Amino acid sequence: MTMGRFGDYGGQYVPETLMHALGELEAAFQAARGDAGFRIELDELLRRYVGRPTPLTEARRLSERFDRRILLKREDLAHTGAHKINNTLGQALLCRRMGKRRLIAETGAGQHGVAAATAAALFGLDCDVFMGSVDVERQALNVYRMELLGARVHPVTSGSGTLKDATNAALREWVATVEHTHYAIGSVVGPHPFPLMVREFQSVIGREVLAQCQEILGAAPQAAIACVGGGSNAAGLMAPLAPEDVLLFGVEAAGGGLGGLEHAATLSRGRPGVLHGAYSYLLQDDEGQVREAYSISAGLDYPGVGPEHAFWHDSGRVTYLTATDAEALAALHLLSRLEGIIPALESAHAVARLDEVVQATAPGDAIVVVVSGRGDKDLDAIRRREGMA
Amino acid sequence: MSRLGDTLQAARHDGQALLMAYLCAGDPTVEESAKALCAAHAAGADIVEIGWPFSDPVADGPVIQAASQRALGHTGRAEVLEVVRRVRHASEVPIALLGYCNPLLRHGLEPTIRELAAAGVDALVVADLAFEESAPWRDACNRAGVSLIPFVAPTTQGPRLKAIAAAADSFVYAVALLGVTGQRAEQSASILPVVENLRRHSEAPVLAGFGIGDGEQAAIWRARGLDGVIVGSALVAALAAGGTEAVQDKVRSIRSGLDKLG
Repeated sequence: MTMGRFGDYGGQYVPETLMHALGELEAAFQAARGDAGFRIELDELLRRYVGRPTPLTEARRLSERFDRRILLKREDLAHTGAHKINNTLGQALLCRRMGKRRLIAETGAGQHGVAAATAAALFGLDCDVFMGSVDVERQALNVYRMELLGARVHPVTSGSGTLKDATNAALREWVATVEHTHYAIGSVVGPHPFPLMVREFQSVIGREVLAQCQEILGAAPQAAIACVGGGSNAAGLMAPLAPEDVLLFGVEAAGGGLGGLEHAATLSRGRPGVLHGAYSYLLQDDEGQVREAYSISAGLDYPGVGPEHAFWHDSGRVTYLTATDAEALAALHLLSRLEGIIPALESAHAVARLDEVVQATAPGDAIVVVVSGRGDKDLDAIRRREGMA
Repeated sequence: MSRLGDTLQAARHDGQALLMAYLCAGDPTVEESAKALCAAHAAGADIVEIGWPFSDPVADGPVIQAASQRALGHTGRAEVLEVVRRVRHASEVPIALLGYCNPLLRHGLEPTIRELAAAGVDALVVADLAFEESAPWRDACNRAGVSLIPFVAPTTQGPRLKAIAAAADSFVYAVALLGVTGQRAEQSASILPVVENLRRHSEAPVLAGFGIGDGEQAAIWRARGLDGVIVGSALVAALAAGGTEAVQDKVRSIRSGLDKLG
């Protein structure tokens, strides 16, 4: 009877009040999936509004440095500056299809909040975004962007004031307003059907990568790598690539180092449990209380991870690595100087573990790196940190 | 389970309304929460509901969230069990344990439920356990002689309602509103058609919870035909503001509201 499992992981661990809405969402999603009109409308939006397909850029100087053929999947060039828009447009279309007039969202770095506010503006939906008070402060510019787009931003002060707490607040709001509100979760987390649905909307990344590699290389790449917080850009890359003969790598945030508690390395250091509606790995103490995650990157600062990643982790299909704050920062500098691309701090984690992918491949092999977002939003935080160093 | 079964049966026989009183284990201390729960029973609560604090209580409003936060630093599994044992030691009041999935799963579902049962728990209420996920939990509870309490909400419909009704082996928890826990001025009637429908499939008593916080409001639910009410946030707030005596006063006033038509 249990729904939406990836191996043992996933499921629907939510208060009874939400079960009807999850059933309704599942039905709307399955119907939309089979509806050519829906697919055409979404494809049109992705093309003419988001600017897809995003380029697959040959990183020539980076390639020279690592003696591999490195290709950057440029989600940083998508409208709003990150991959998050792929998902919010899909969910906004579903929201309209279900006859709901309001969209709510949680956000960490603010990228998903901005993408949700953007989709809401485009479709004339009301929009409320829940954001941890700590994140409101460290991502002030994104708060202003959401407000410009017509969304109301609600700072969440409970708990650690970060993404986990914003997600709790959004779930509580959804329970109270479920009849006319759709909760557009921003990652491949939460109860079924969210992990499956968000992965499907993000899979445009992996499908384009395969087509573009076919065009450029005449074949699939030997390896691909993406950062993992909740794991939506990684799942969107990996789901279409998983059946192919491609080495897959995910990179979690090791924050101040895995030796301490200041990290967000859920798969590397967590244990299975239930958070935000799904059974997956999570950072927790011996009592089953969820730990605060930490990363310099607000978008990776989450103590859970998508259940499909938990499944890929256990099955060994994807290798999950980690990068520290310092390594991510160094990678951000590297990509900026060698390629003229300033990546988001999240994406810089993927760039930082190219060394490991190099170890697993041979000279001349092609490696795809997802640049999930652009770094503009992080410049203040980086400048402050490096000014202090 | 006979403690709980006997209590439900006696209430039905006497036409008495049921009151389940919630407090969070360890808020403010193990000792005081146990004492306050016993006091709530003495003042007229038929069932006590002991909360296992959790870091991410998504079904709870600000009052119980804050209680959880206050308790978390010094209340783990051992302390929750200690509160249960203290209450059990003091009386034969039926005890329900309210928790969230993760702490209950942490050291294995089966051994945890066995340990709760051994400490004196009669029923388990899991706020984020949807009926669809509950089969292994129900099996473990059955083996330990604990009743797993099913929920219905204003949004519960169709064949799900029938399945939920069939799973009720003591009482049903009717979530009285769309939203989180915490007293509301207005008492929504949106659960009533669901309860009416439920009655067609189950004879189990139905207790309304969420949003109910005083005698007048309890009387409304009694008049609406519910078998009883569940009160949490109002008691947690009373305990924080005025200690055990304030809890007793609150329980008494809710009791008298319930008994008005009784």
